[in-house]
Amino acid sequence: MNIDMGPIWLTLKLATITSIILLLLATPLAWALSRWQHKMKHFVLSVIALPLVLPPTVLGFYLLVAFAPDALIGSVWQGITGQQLAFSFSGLVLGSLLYSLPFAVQPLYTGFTQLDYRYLDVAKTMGMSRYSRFKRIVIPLCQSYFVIAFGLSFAHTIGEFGVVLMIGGNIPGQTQVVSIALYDHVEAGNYADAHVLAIGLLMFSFVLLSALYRFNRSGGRSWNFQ
Amino acid sequence: MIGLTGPSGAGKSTLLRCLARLQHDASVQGQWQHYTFRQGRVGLVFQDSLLFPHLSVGQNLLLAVDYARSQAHWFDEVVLGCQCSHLLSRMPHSLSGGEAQRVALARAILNSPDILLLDEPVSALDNQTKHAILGYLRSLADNGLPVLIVSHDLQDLSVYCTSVLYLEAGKVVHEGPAHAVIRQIHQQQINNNIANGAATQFGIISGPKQNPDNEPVVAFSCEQQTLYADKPFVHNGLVSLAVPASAVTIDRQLTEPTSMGNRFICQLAALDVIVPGAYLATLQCNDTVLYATLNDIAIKQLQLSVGDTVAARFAVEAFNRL
Repeated sequence: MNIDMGPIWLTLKLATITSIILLLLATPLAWALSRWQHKMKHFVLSVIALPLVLPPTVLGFYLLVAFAPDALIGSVWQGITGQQLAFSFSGLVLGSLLYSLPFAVQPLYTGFTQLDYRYLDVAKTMGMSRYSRFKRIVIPLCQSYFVIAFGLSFAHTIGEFGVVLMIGGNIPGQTQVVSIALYDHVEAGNYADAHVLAIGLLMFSFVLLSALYRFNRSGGRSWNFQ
Repeated sequence: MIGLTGPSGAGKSTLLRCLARLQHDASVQGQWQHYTFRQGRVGLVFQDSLLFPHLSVGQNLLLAVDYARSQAHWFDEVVLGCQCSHLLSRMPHSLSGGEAQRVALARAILNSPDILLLDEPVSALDNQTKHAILGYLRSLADNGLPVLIVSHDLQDLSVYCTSVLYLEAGKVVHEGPAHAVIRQIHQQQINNNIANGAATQFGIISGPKQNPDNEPVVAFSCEQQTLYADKPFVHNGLVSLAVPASAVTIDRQLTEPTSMGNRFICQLAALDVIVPGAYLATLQCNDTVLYATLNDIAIKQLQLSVGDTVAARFAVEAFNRL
């Protein structure tokens, strides 16, 4: 039995990059949504939550179409980078961002809506700038929600299959993530290697989720429920 | 130091939020002493303290110092004035309501604001601490920091504030020197025949202090009569005392002393029915007004009628400390 570490490193790399970018994107988005009062709000929330219920292949299919070199996104990307977006690692990152978006936005949105805004009022009267208020008040008070958002995005990206299969193909070193490699092993009848990857994914997901639940229970979340 | 009072829902807290520029749909214009409401630094203390829960008391205070515009070296003085020296290493969730209020107050002051807006800042404090803190606030106000304090406690406002605003349904109904406004509020309550209002009536006695500083019982002169009070609020040599109606008795012994300690000769100016059988007596000597609650048996026994000269008696204990 010879474990190929390529897909494992690629998966970790994809999950790390995706989670970091997601946190940067989801924070302002969740913040804006938490303060936004408009009759169209449920519409926007539904769009963000779509990947939760949509078959990944649907999302993957539309992304594949959009990433094609003659489609708008695909051609713009190719114009800028000179490379094709579909079947590339960059394409995987973009797909994962959309696929895991609700997992980053939802916890942050919950955290921001439960935050007592009067803390920010106090901070404002104390002369703290918008940036300082966010850094010194919002981030520490919503710390646990940031950790959960990061953890869930990470775990969900690791577990993705359908979207990757549609837009990534199965290129070793480029787009072959663990879940795809596992599928490959099964197709080839190589159950021993499949077992190794499957048990690895299972253990990893379990440990990560346990850690998140544990953190959630003991973490600073109680600050918001004084 | 201005007091702001009025019934619940009159808009007191909203007014503070507007003055602190936290109400985005409000436009505020005005000036108070050197402070312009459109741009100055506001120190706002909310009713429920709102200490940053992830920071210790000391860190909460230091954060305020960090963002203060002038780095005045008065940390210890403020912490002492707000009685929170022993709380610095504690976390906010471990504080009692009163402790949290004191820390919130210290935090607002340490931020070196141009004006201090306080929403019921002493509501959770015990009486002794409350008076110490109010005295400290008054001393800050006298040293040039405008203080606007919201409170339901008219006695506190009458003793510590220079003037009082009475807000009702978003409008200022009464305004002026504390004792005048309090009298107007009382009169309004009597006119509206509010039994509950009558029970909380109090008169304000004030006058120059007569004995030296180190004696706990202060002698002072009011309407050329000598009165005594136990550790009252003394400001610039002037004693102020709120005496609740329920603490005043009336008799016709104009010369003889009793165990009540204080005898104040005055005229029965009015006798209003609070509820059948119970009366509120308005007692007046020149500008000083006291109130007393009486029942009709006492009125019959004393054969009281409006215009009579009577002795109002009350204990030496300072009522605003009870």
